[in-house]
Amino acid sequence: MNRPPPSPADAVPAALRDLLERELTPGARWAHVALLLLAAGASVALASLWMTEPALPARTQAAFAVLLAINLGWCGYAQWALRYRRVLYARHRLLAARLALAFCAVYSLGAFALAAFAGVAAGWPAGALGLVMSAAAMAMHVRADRYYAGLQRRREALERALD
Amino acid sequence: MPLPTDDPRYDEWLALGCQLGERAAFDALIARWHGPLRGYARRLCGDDDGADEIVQDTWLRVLRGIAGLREPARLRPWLFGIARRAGMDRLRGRYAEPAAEAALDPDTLALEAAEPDRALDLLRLQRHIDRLPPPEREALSLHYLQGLSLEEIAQVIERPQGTVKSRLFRARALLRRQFDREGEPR
Repeated sequence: MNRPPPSPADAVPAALRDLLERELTPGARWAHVALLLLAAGASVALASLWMTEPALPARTQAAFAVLLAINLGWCGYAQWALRYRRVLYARHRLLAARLALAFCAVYSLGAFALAAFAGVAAGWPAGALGLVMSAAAMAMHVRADRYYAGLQRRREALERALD
Repeated sequence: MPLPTDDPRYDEWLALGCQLGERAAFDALIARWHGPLRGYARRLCGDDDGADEIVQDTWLRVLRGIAGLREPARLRPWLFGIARRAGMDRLRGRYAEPAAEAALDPDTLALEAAEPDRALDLLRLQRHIDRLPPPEREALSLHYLQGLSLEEIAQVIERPQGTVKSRLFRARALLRRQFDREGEPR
């Protein structure tokens, strides 16, 4: 892969090197991706349970609602952080979309397997919801892949024009 | 193969590397643009501490915003536009106009100049520029010191090109008047 020539160490002031380290370190970025995936997964599981359990008492319904709201809140926070604070660049977006697609596919397969082999009726709607999420993850993946490929193509075109 | 740094499309190439998420591209971007942005920030606020704050804030915004830059070929006006907004935010926060006469930095100027006489001339010119009203000083600095085109300056300051032209015209006229009064740098 082509990379810009290394810059002299003293060309970047120390304060900015710290800023770069803080902003570009992958740990916090992937922690937010994991948080988003976990919170989204938990939200879907809670919503599936809530929708498929018949005649729940009001107190339990309220508990489900609160738990769901908390998880959706975490989803919102993680999305905000990934959009404005721990920005995902093209290659991160592609990897995050792949992760989302893999998790959604595993979730859907698991739900359908429970329904088909263990006779858990709630597995069907949960699996259907998983398919919807997989479709959304696939759409994200296509977009991220197109964006990444577009940037790479443009960069290669600039390099070719040099020859 | 990396583009040579003097290639006119090098900035676009760097911006693409940053958008892809390559650390080396960010290092190269900062190494290339930190000095010019700091110089611009200094002219905006008039002091070194303020310039450091502005330029730090600028880079933070750049790191968080470059993924959304739609036209990587327009990196340069985009960077200065961000620095300008960061500077304006700081000035607004301070409820003060930029200092009319900035503290000068003879060391930097001396380093830029090959000979002491030339450094003195640059210092005098710098002092004249710093006395201009902020809008004229900004247009002059972006055009002659940072090498931005009229179109790029219009994008940075979010005003029509006609406004840029008239600010440059006024800046030149004011400079000429100052030179006539106090002597022109050689």
